[in-house]
Amino acid sequence: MPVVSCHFTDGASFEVDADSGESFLEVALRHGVPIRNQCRSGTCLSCLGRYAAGSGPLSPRPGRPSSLLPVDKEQGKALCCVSEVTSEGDIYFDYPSDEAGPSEAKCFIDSIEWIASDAVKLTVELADGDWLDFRSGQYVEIAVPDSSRCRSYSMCTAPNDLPQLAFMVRILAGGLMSEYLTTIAKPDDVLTLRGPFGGFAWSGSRSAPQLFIAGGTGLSPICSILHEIRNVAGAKPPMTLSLGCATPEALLAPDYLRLLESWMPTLSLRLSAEFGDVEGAVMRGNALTAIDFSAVTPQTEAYVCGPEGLINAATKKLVEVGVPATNIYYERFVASGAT
Amino acid sequence: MSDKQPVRRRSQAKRANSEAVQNEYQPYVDAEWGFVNHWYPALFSNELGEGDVEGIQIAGIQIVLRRANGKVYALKDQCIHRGVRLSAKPMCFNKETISCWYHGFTFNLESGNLDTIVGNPDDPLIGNTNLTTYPVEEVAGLIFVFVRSDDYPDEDVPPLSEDLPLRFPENSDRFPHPLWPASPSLLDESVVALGIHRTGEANWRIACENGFDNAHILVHKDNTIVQANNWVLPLGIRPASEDCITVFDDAGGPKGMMQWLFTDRWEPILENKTLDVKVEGLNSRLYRTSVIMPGVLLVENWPEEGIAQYEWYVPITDDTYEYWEVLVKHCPTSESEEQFTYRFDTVFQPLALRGFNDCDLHAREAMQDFYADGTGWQKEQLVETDISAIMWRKLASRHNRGIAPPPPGAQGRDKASSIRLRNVSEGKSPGYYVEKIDDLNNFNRTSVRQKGR
Ligand SMILES: Cc1cc2nc3c(=O)[nH]c(=O)nc-3n(C[C@H](O)[C@H](O)[C@H](O)COP(=O)(O)OP(=O)(O)OC[C@H]3O[C@@H](n4cnc5c(N)ncnc54)[C@H](O)[C@@H]3O)c2cc1C
Ligand code: FES
Ligand code: FES
Ligand SMILES: [Fe+2]
Repeated sequence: MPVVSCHFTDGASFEVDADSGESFLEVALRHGVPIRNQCRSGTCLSCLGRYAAGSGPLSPRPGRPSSLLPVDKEQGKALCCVSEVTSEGDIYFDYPSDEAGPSEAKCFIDSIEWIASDAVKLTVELADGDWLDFRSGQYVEIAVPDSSRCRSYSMCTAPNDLPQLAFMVRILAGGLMSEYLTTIAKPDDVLTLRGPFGGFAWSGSRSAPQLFIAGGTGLSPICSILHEIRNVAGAKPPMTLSLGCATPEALLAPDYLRLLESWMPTLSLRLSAEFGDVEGAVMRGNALTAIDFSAVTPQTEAYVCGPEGLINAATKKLVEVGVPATNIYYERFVASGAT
Repeated sequence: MSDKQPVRRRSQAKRANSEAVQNEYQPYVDAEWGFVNHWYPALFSNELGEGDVEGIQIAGIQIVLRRANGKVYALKDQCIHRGVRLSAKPMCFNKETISCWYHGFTFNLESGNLDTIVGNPDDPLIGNTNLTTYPVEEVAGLIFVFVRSDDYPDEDVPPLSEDLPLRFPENSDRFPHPLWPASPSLLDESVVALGIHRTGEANWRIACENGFDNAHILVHKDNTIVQANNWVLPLGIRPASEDCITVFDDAGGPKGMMQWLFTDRWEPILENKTLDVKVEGLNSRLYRTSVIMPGVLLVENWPEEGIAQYEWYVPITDDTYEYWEVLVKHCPTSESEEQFTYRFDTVFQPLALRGFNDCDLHAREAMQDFYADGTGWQKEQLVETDISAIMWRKLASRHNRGIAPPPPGAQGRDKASSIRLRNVSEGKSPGYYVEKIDDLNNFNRTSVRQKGR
């Protein structure tokens, strides 16, 4: 049986004997290898690993979709949960082996306020004695009360706002969580969170220009990252935030974003709407057309969050103007649907 | 968490705070303990002789200063071992280090590294940890410290000039004034700076906003220096033009705002007919104020021609600040320096820095209770002359380099600590300097009980 060595940033490494025909994540977890994971279906990127070169010991399992782009695969990224072992080799994970995994926490609803025509901001506070650490950009699963279902939501607050957390949630007609939040939920109700999940996080670079591209509530994790940058000690990088929504009324918390812009001298804000009466500082178009790509340098680090179409178009455009794919981070809000 | 345990809310106090309305200048409202990652004056040079050690506190951060071979070093005054203040009982075995008097952790003055432990020289911790150090600049008899958060990188420390007022004549074209073409700057050559500093009991923002409040000169109406000189000090000065204030925020330069006082952009009010009050003075006393991050006031042409008054309202805790008043004048000859010093001692210090500005200390203290619990920022009802304060709040929200968190483990965080209460009962009010141990053999308490004799 081929042996795969798993390496973590704290220097720990684990050897796994495995055969093909089974998800590498499952085998590795059985061997006690602390690979982050959540969806186990090739979507959330939690179990992302990298090879030293373009290829390595894993191959995609036939018939399993994955959210990796072709360029990710060329660069030797793999999702353990939808891969199987086909040869010996090494795989690297960008986090320490001893980090606490996802945990469960109860919280109380502080407020639910409309921040756009089809979105609310849900603010909660962790219950006494409960805690949930996360990195800005990550998300949690929230159990929909009185149902067996969970929905994923990205925090729009930063870790040092804990024990308070907030989420920007798009309200879908007939949606399970949407209905709960708009018709049943009230302050002081208790919710159950599980997390954190996801690898969408700030790179920590204070010199490279940072470009944030958000569609709709994709703004949520980006807000979290902006708060982290505001809190970090030292000179701040130049930043652009482009938010696109369907109509001007659907723009999320535009007044608050303008305040953030006035508090962060190196941040510049672009707001755009595809339809409706566009006026003032809001541009006609979408989060991509609002960006002056001639000013985007290859050093730029880009963070994209929003619908599938936006992520694909943004990645294509960024690669076209010379931004290496390794500088592009994205998060997909995959539809929860009937699961 | 098991479902059987009851799910309880955290303390209500915290929640009330976080529900506060987001304000246009919320970062300023949040800066109760001041702004960090800025340059602040710490001591006058003559307060720290060769070999001396002093402990102070700025923005909730305890800082120990030591002068060795003429150079001033500043380190965090909170031992990494058990949190003891090094300055409480200074112990230095050489010119390169300072040791903690409790278990002898010995820190390099330059790097802050743990160089050795007096009674434990082979411990593996040695060389692997450090105390935060603070960059120091000494100019014109003032020691400035860059008060930073522990993780603020060295390479991002800005020059002192970024946190000091605009300099002249290089800014004379942009901010001309016919009567004082080039106000003196602390950074100029042949400049002499004379001043005082003391602790005021108010939040630093209340103090700072008083400094450039153009309606508050009413409190100075009855000051001795005003009446003795027959000065025309208006009852108030109201904004009379949309460009009454100019913000300056060039990259690499100071961030602040200039008030075009005693130009046609501001209207001095000399009479109130409703009340039948009139300014009776004969001699005009013109000046101009600007305020710069992190809260530095420049009063040009004050209290006399050719002099500039600098002020700082350095946060100590959220309810005390160190009030600095420094007069700056070009004195190219030793004769002119002597004259300035004589006038400082006989007139400016007693009548201006004390007399005139003492009534500002009264006014700031009088505002403190209204703002102390945070509600004052929402309840205040403003008028047009408050434009200066509001522009400053917005500017400070944008250009601060960091908001000081309520300090973990520092003096003044716990308002009712037993030590604080004892000090107060012994007649020592909370202040700027560390309480030094002057007699280790004598923990002076009145209530010692003995038995067995
Ligand atoms: C990693 C991750 C992070 C996420 N973060 C956020 C976030 O920060 N804010 C946020 O608003 N949402 C986020 N989502 C989406 C969120 O989890 C839910 O899918 C969404 O809120 C709908 O839940 P619901 O219960 O209201 O509707 P459901 O009952 O799940 O669905 C109702 C109807 O809407 C359709 N639908 C479901 N989801 C979507 C969608 N995303 N777009 C379009 N149609 C959909 C369904 O197919 C169904 O027809 C995230 C999803 C993932 C996977
Ligand atoms: S755990 Fe592999 S993609 Fe989610
Ligand atoms: S507390 Fe300083 S050495 Fe122990
Ligand atoms: Fe005054």
